[in-house]
Amino acid sequence: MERSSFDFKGNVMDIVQNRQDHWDNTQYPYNLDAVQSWDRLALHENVTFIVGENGSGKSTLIEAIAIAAGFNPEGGSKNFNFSTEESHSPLSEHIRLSRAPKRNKDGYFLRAESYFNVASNINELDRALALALQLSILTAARHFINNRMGRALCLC
Amino acid sequence: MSLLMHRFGGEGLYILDEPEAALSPQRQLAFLSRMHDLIQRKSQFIIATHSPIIMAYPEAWIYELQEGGPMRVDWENVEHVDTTRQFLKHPQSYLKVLLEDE
Repeated sequence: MERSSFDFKGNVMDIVQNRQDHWDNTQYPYNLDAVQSWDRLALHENVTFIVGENGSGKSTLIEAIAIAAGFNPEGGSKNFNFSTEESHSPLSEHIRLSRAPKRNKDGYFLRAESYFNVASNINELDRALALALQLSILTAARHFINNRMGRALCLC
Repeated sequence: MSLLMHRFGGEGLYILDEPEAALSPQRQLAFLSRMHDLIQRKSQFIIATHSPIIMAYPEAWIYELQEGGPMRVDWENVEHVDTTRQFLKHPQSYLKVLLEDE
């Protein structure tokens, strides 16, 4: 049944797969039942759950959806966007989201393992800021000393 | 949980993989309530979860990844929900079988 995109209260209506290019049914992740058995997955306008046994492909699927939606594979909000290692599966290249006209103002992708990744990014950011602060203090101190020394040298 | 409470502002697309990790059952209930607030404020959620509590959100669609692919199922019929319910109903019989000496 076709749903009207104008009445749809959410943003993502359907997950659509295309199997062109590097799609290979014999290879992971394309060989997962969770991946190869459908072409289009309709979403609820409020909440859609993906449930299943460990190893059934939930994380693979949800990660590909998140990347197709524009999130960083490492998780986070869209502007919290410093990618480190490329950890994502190539499935996202085969996924397109069909979206309703409604725009989002906010967004977040929470990876299962990423409490730690995001935390480590925040730690890195803190460290970088602290370092920058130290450096600017050092630079200021150096200017100060140079000025004094310069003046001192002039006095000689 | 603090992400959901403080960082998510509504009118958003939130994609969460096992948000129940590290949440007590009480916190999972609180999660439902906060999620409801955000939905009232025009948000959409896509959530992978093992939690029978979280997946109980009314009228949500549940795709169970079965052999043969994702299938839409009702909350009552999700295997995680059924297993949990049966265990809580008859813990002794489960434990007896599980912990039986060979």
